[in-house]
Amino acid sequence: MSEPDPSRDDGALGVVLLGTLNRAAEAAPPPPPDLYRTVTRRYARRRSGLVATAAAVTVLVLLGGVVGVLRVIRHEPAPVTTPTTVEGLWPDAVRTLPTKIGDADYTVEALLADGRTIVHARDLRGLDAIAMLDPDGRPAPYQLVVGYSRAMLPDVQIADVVANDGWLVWRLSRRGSADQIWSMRWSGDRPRLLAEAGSLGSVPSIALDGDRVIYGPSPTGVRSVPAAGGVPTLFPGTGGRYWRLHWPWLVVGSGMNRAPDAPIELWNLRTGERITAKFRQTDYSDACGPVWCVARGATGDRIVTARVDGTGRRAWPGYRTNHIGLTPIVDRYLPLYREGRTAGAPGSLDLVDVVTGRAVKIRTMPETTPPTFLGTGRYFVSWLVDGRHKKVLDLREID
Amino acid sequence: MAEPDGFEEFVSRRAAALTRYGFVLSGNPHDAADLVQEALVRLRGAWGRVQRRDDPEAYVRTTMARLHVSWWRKRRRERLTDAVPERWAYDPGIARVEEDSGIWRALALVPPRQRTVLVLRYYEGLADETIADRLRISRGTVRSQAQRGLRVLRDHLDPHDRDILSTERRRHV
Repeated sequence: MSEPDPSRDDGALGVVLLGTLNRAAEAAPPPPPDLYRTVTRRYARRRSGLVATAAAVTVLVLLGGVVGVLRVIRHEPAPVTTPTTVEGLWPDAVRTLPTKIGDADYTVEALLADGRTIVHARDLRGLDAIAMLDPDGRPAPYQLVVGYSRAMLPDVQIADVVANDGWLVWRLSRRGSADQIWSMRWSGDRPRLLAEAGSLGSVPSIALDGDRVIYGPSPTGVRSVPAAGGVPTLFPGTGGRYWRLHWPWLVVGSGMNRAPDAPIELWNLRTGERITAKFRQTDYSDACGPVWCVARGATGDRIVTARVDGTGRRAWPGYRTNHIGLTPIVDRYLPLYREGRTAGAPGSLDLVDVVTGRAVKIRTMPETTPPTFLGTGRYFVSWLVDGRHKKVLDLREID
Repeated sequence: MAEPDGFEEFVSRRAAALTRYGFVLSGNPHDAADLVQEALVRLRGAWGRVQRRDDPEAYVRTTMARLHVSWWRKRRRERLTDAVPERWAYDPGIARVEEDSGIWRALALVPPRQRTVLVLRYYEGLADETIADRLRISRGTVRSQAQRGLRVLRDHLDPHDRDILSTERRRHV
C-alpha cells in the first residue's frame, strides 16, 4: 500500500512551476556552434594529462618613498607532481573500510551514494550475513541487515547480492532445493521472497535495474520481476544455453562450459540486438563482456584485450591476472598485477584502462598477498592496505 | 584520435535540448554551458559503453543533475540571500519569464539539491523512484527535498505574485 505523498499535493504551485520552467527553457540561450569541437578538445586534453606550469612574477619595489627599481622576479616553475596512484587521482572515489567486521572476513557487494557500503560475510558471529558499513562508523562499526544461522540452516548460503539506493536483493542458494530471490526496501520493509529460480550456479546472476530485478541463468531462461514483488516475466528464447548476465546483455558461450571454437554471441535483451564477437577464445579462462573481450592465456600472463568487433586490440606485456573470466569493469577497467620494472623490484597492482591503454598504480605489491588481497565488483575494485584496512575504488566516479 | 561513431551526431542533435535543461537546472547560461560541456566530455569517455548499455541522453542528463549538486557543494557558492540577484532582471529572456510570475526569481533562492529535485520532477516529469536513482538518494529524501523546495517557493513569492496561485490567474500559465 503506497503512502500519501504530501510533497505531491502541490496544487496550483506545481502547475505554475511547470509553466515557469518550460518558459525558462524556451528563453535559454542556444548552445555554442562549436560545442562538439570544444568537447572533443577538452576530452583530448584531459586524456593527455597536461598540467599548467607556473607563471613569472613581477614585483615593484618601493625604496625610500620613491619608486625604485622595477624588479622582475622569475620564479622557477614548481615541480609538476602528477598523482601517481588511483587514490591520488580520484580521492573522492575511494572509501576506506576495515579489513574485518566482528572478526569476520567479508566481500564488498555495493556502494551506496550516501557513503554506506553493503557487504557479505559468510560467518559473522555464526551467521551468513549481509551487513551495512556506515561511513562514519555510527551507530556501530557495522549493522546487520540479513542473517542466516549457519548452525540452524547449514544447507543455505547467500550466493549473490546487489543493491542500489532503493533496494537490496540477494540470491539464496539451498542445497537440494531451488534458489530463491529475495528483496528488501531500504526504507524498512520486511524481506520478501520474489521468486524461486532453479539452480543458478555460482556465477553472478542477478541484476538490479532501478526497481526491477533480473535473474538467471536457469534451465528455462532469464526472468525479470519487480523488486516490490509480482509475477516474474520470462525473456523468451533465453533458456537452454549457458550464458553470463551483463544486464542488459547476455553473453552466450563465453568462459567455461563452452566448446573451444563455438562463437561468442551477445544479445541485448532490452533492444533485441544480437552480434557475434570477433574473438577467438584460446583458453576457457578467456571471456567477453558486452564491449570488450579479454584473453589471458592458461597461466594468466599473456593478456590481450580487444573490442567485441575485433578493433582496439592491445597486448599487456608484463601484466598478469589470477582471475578467470575477467572482463573490464564498467566496460573499461581491469585490475592487473604488474611485474617489478627491474629485477628484484616489487611489482604493483595497477588499474588499466583498456580504452586509452593507460595504467595507474593502485598500490605496490607487498611481499605476501592473502586470498582477500584483491576484490572486484560490478563497478568497483577493492584491495588490502594493511592488516587493518582495505580500500574500495568506485569506478563510476572516475574518468 | 579517432572519434567514436555517432557521438558527433548525438551532440549536434541534442545540444539545444541539453542546454535548455542545463539552464533550467542552474538558472544561468554560464553554468548551463559548463554543465553541458562537462557532461558531454564524460559521455565522450564512456561513449562505447553507454551507447551499448544505456541511453546516452539519460546518461548526460543524469550527469548534469549530479554535477550541478556536487559543484555547488564544492564551490560553496552562497546564493541563498534574501535579495534576488539583480542581474537577472536585465536578461531579456528572463524578463519574459518573470512577467508571468515571481517563481523564476524565487527559484534562485532554492538550495541546489532541492532545485534539482524540482526540475527533475516538474520539468523532466520523472517519477520519484527515477529521481532517487539519478541523484543516488533515497525516495524519502526526494520527497522531503521536493517539499522543502516548494515551501521555499511559497515563502518567497511576493504577496502580489501569490495571486497566481488562485484559480483566476491559472489561465495565464
